[in-house]
Amino acid sequence: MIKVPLSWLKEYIDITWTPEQLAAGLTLRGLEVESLIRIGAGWDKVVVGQVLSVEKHPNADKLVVLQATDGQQQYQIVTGAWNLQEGDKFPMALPGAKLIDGHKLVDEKAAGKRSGDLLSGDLPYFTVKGGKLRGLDSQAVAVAHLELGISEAFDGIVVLGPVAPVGAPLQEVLGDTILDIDLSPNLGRALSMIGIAREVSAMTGVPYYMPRIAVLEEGPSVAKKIKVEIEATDLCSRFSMMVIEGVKIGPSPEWMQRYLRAADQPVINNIVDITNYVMLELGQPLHAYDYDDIHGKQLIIRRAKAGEKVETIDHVDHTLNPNVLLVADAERGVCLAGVMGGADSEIKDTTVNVALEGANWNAFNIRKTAREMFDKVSEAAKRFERTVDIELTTVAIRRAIQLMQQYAGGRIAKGIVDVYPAPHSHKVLEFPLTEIRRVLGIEIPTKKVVEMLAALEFDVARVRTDGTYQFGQDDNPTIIVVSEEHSLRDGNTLMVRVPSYRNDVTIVADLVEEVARMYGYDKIPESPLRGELPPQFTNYAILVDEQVRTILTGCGLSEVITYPIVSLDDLKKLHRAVSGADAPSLHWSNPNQLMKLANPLSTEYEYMRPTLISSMLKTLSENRRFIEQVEIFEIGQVYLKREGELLPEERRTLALAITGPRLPLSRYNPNLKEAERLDFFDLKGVVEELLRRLDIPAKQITYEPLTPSDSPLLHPGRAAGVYLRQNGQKLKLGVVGEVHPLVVEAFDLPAERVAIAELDLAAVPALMQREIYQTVTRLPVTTQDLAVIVDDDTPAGGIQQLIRETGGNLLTDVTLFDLYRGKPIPEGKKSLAYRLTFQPLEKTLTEDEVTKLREKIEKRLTREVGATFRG
Amino acid sequence: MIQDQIAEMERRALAELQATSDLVALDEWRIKYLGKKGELTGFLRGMGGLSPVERPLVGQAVNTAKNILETAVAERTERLKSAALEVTLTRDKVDVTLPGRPVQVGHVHVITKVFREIIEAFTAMGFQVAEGPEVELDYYNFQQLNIPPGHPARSMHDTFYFSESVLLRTHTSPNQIRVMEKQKPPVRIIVPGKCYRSEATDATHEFMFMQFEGLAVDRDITLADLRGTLAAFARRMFGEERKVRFRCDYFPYVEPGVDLSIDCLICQGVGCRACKYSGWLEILGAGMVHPQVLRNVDIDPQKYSGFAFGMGPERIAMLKYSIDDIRQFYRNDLRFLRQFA
Repeated sequence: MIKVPLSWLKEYIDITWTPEQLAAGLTLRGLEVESLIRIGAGWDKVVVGQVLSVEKHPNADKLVVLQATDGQQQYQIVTGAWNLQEGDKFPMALPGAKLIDGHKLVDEKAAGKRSGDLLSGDLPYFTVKGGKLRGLDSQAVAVAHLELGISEAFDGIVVLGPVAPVGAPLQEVLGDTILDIDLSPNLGRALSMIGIAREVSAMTGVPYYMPRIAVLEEGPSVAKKIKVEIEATDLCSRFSMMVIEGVKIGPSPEWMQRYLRAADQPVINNIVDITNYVMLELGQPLHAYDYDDIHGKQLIIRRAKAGEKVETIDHVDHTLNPNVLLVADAERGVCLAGVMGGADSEIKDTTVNVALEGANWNAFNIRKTAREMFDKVSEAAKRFERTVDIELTTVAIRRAIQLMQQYAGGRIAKGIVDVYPAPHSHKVLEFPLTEIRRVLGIEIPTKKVVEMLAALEFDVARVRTDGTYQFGQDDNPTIIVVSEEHSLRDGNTLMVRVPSYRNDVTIVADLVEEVARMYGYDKIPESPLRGELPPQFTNYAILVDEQVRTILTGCGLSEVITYPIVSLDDLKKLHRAVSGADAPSLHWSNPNQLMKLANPLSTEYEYMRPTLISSMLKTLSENRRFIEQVEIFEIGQVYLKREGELLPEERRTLALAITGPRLPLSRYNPNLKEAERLDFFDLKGVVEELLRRLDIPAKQITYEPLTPSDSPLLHPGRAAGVYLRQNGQKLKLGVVGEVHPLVVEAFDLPAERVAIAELDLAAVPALMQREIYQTVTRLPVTTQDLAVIVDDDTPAGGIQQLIRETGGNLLTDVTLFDLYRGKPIPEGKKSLAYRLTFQPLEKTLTEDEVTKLREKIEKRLTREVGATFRG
Repeated sequence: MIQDQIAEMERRALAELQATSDLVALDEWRIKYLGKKGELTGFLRGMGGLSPVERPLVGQAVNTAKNILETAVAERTERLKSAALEVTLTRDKVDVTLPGRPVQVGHVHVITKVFREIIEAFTAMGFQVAEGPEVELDYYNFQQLNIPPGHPARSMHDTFYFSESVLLRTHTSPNQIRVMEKQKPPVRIIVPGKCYRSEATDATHEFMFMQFEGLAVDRDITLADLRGTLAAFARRMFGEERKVRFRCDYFPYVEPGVDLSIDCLICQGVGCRACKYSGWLEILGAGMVHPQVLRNVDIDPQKYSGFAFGMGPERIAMLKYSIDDIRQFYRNDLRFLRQFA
């Protein structure tokens, strides 16, 4: 966010702490120092060299031969960089020095192997060795910025200032420590050296100094040079301008370039560099126009006309809409206000006269323009969208114009154009000191609080017992008092006047935070929560989730969590088996439309899922590539659009999916390929166990065949709807079945059985029955086997149901243990063998009683399903 | 002499007993000598023809022989049984280094595992678990949390929209509002759930992730309570010996704002790649509920105060288990997930 070279910061404050202490201290105060960058730590054997002579390489057009010295010895250097002249001082790497391999970096970037900043990630290095280049000895290397890691510049050799001592280690000249600080959106005030110096000052107690500004205005009156009008007063609250005539464009001074590079800013020319320098120094973005390109010598701040065109300095043509704010001259837009200047009026090598703008823009508008029109938010926009101190425009342009005259010459026009319709009023907050104890839980003496706030440049006045108060020396008459209907103003209240650069402080809680920052967050004590406990309740949805997880993991299934955003393609795959134009509903529970994202990342993640099944099949498919047997489940929401409501129903749903061999490979199951496969009945067994353990009575559950139109993604002969009958109502709980072979194929799964189930978990909590204790007796049980012969297409479920109902309380268990077709059973019939367990409650059952019950069951089966019986 | 015959039989019987090699032969032997029609009974049966003087002597000889034979056969039985058992045991021997029979039990997702730990830690402090919608209104996700349209904090929340007013929640914080709309202080709640950000995925960013929101509101809740509660949580999750750093941070819906870090698990605070050489790992953001947020739900900020916090279970899992890529979690590769079973 902002890189702060300590060498630069030292211009404004004496730094008495170590870099580590500074970093830790600032971080605790909310200015998170992400890293400490030490420039020059690795520059062994790189020294200040001086050029003795420059000649063309006799055998190569693109190379030059330098003779250079480190003050003791002469070196011959062959290089491709042309920017050095006799007498220049430069970093000279002697054999053994390790430098960043700039060519490799640039090549890798060009080949797409690197993203982001050139100097991020692992960097390639090379070691300097003597050698021959095109036939001539090259005994050292003249070094570019990129090779030192101080900036991405790789277009020439670093030129050092004339005072650099020849032969000195480069680290003594260019070495620096840089604080890389990440700033939260409220910390716009810290996006400058002065902003950081203020924090450091408050933290260390050492005063900081603003740069001395003295401007010699000798030119004509600025009012004659330029007229400014703010048309869009809602978006521009201040516009200030100065003009300087007769400047000479050239490079900025070496020290300024060094600071800019260290702070990761480009180096362009003296005028542009100065605007960037002052922005970084004070926090006020500035814009310099070529005065001669301002048509009509007037600037109007207005909204763009629809379709109006502007080319920005990055040479991109923009077509604008009326939300974009422009600085325009008599004819056209010359600057996207606060975001980026126009190409037409930019500073060129031929520029002679400069108009310098310092303005204050609406943060919301800047943010919108900067983010909608540019991939990267400009340094100016970065500051304006966080708000900039409105009092700063004139200070900053005076500072910049002073530097321009100093480093580019010229005459400064008299005065400042300053359109400032509503001058700033200082906010004053009423601060009841009791808030400190109430919010922070600590006591701080009032005197201490006043000192802390004063260190942060708040004006503080103590309220007298009669309710009056008086600020210090320069009491500003234009103040507004913000009252939160707090308290009586009494001896326990402070009136706090907020500095103009503290736009982030608007309420008492903000002052409390300032006190906490000064006190030290790390000194806040730890106390446990006390007080009244809120009413406690059980969250049944989460309780059910946990039970489901316990049961299903016990059944051998593992939990997955998939993205609820899915692609239409995957949902369509679920209907691969359906032919014809009639689009089926997308899910058994959801005939409605899907929730579609307006700004998806890609079509792969575009719709909120109406079913978990597509994600489950994908997950199976991906795992099946590596694992033979996959058994998974997911608990998650499906999103069902509701008529007339903004938000969909988010329905808790459970999906289960299994495929592969029933048993894993082991010496008991040596041939996985031939092994039995998981199928419908494996998963149905899991579903039955799950519902039983969730205390949904098995008698109330039925499984009924599904028609293909009910669930087109399932195998037409191996799929069931799961229904619950309670109080005369029939409720669909979900489906369990094998996936249709065409759908299996569509999800790139191996052509084998895949069983899947989806259950409406949201319905479960209401269906769970209270578990009631059943008497356990020690009386002996009697078992009887019953072989029922019925028509082949008679569903077994009904027979078991009939046996249960007829057997009554004494029949405690009915287990189907054989299903048989073939001789001696007649063609078209099947035999179902059940073991019936009778458990008496009070006295041992007699043979006679059991026989009677059995006969009753047999009669009923014969009557209702035409059953006969074997042996 | 009958006694001689008895003695001869006894010798023969004992010799034959020694020759038996299994329990079947032993039974045959028993029938032959000690059975109802066995040789020993034969002697007793023949006693009718003996003189009254001889009879008791022969009876005694038969009894003595019987005792001897019975003792001998009991011993022999014992020996043969134990020899048979020995054979069985030897035959049953297995290679105990062979693998056991596979058991098929599944496992929960690693994020569920972390959820459970977090829920347990906070329910022990009187917090309860609530939930809220993932498809959310801009009103709850931003506006009621002090993030009006155009607020710079919005650029920290790359948002998926369905329409201007409907979006996928970017954090679980809208539940602060949803909970307090219904429940007045005292409130102690945690809200887990999925959140979404429309950003490119990489090793530390996912477009879908989980979050945990926490909220405690009552009279006299202070920053010190926040610190006490969350430091206790951090030490419970990461170990009693952890150092906890508490620093100023910014979220528009809290004031003062807090960031909580623990000393790096990997380098113990010395500085390494994982902690970006700072020695600290951020684990959660928090702060005192902003007075405006309380006002938005008709709770008087001058009477009540509270704290809120939010954390990402993925980050916690990554720290706990040294996972270096967040994309692992929802790729659902079982070879990854089963490591946390």
